[in-house]
Amino acid sequence: MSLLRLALAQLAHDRLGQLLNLLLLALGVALAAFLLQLRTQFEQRLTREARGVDLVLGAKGSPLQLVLSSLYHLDVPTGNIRLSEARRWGAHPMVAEAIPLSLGDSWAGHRIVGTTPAYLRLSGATVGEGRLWRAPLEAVVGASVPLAVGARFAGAHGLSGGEAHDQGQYTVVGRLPAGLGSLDRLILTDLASVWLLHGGPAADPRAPDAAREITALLIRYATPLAAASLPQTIQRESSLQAASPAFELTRLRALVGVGVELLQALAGLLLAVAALGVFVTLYRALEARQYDLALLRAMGASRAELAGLLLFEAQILALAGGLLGLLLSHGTLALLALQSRGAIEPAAPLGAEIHLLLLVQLIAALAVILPALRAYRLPVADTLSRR
Amino acid sequence: MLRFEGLEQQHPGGPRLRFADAALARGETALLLGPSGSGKSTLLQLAAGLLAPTRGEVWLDGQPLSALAEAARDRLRGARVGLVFQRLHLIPALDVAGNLALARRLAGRPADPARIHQLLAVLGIEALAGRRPHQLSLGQAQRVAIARALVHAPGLILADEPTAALDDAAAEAVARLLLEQASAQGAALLIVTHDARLRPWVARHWQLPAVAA
Repeated sequence: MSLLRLALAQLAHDRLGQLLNLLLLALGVALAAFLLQLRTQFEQRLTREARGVDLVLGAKGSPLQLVLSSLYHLDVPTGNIRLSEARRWGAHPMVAEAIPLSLGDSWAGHRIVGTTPAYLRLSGATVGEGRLWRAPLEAVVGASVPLAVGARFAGAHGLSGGEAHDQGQYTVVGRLPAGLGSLDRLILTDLASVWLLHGGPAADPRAPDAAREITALLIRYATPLAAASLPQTIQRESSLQAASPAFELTRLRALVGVGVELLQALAGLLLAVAALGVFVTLYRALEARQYDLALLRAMGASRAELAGLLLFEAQILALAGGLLGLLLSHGTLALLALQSRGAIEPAAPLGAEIHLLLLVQLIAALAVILPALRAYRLPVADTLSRR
Repeated sequence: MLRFEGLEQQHPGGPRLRFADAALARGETALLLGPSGSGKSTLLQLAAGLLAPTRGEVWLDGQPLSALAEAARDRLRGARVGLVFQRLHLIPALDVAGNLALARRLAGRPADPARIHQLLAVLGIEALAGRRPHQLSLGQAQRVAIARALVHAPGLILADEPTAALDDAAAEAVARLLLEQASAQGAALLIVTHDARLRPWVARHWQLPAVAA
């Protein structure tokens, strides 16, 4: 019968009283861990998906909207731009690579993106099953798009579904492997597919670039010097908007940061309330347990062992609450990942979560200082005589 | 096993208690008698090293308690003394076997489930091993308390009013068990009581005088 087993038995004996503390600790840890995971995924995704893109050209409007819609496929595009004008800037000596994107259609909520194979290279992605598109109306789908190779489907107007295009159907010729971020939920096809389905002069294969439009052009600089002059030059000499992902993402972090900080403060508050709960429960329980503790002393337990017993109880509670919190956080993320079509990924264990568990242990240790001190100073003979 | 020498105890605001010198060897039994307020429980706490005397010395197993640091006194008490209390003697979070196992652990003895079950069988309460204290009758709880006082084979058993609140039959059973088991283990037994029913069972009586308030 170790002190640890005695502490476990004591917690089990007082399970109703400790349940609220356990839940408060678990909720605090769950919220904190959930935020940690979301922030980590957010940062990883921001960094990963903006990799290799120094500038985004698109229609005038919100630069953040342009970056979000073109790089992360999270917002609606700002409008279309002429292909001829985009090509002009794509051929600029300071530009190493320019990748056109054409948005506007979707299938079952998955965006259809007209582009070139260079778009896949940008993410380091290769087709997992099947092959790359070679002709208009051939499509490669991301891992979370429920279409098998060989399947045929018709795109719909708009990014969230609308009237179906009746001019032609796509054929899935390839599928991408999972874990490619926003690519997981996209349907990629040739630029010409989009022009073909939308009819008009652009649908003619011999149509000039001036008659055609795209949504955005992703640009990789040939030289770091380009960052200092090219965006300004484009803004000055064209009707296009040039948005720097690095700049816009810094702005986005600042915007989202306020909300994250508020939620983090809430998680901190929950943990503080939980710690207070542990303190109050242990302190009040001491009144009821004074005789038991005096009995332990009479049976040979030292003052330090009595204090250690309370510390054990608090640490066990903190560990259980911490682990339950992590389980809740990972479970919630796994559920969200199932429903979010790749926008959220299942949580991988983070080093920071271990720090969170240690922090909860520390909080519990602080909460138990006063009760443990009181147990340490318990007057045994007086306590036993009182009953 | 137990010896008092020139013992005096002054509680704050209370009368000064003076105790006659006395000694109890292994295998011996004594009843500590006296009216309320005469210092019976105080003497028991002094004997167990739970209280430090204002004057005088308590010798336990040949060691003067005043010469020991508190932690050493705790260890000595855990290892050499078995305590039986009048009421609410058991740790409510543990079952009967757990209460006995804890006593062995605090005495620094290795875990010995066989010894625990054997002792419970001797006291006729083996079937109660898995029960919690709140599931026991007063008589059953008192037997468990006796088992706990014996489980680590102490040299001295100190019992505080072990038969109070028990009916005649239960009081007799408890007294018989205490005396038989202390004798079987060769332990000294000191019983604090003002229960007249116990007088015929023990030949040696230490009578404390009434103290004027």
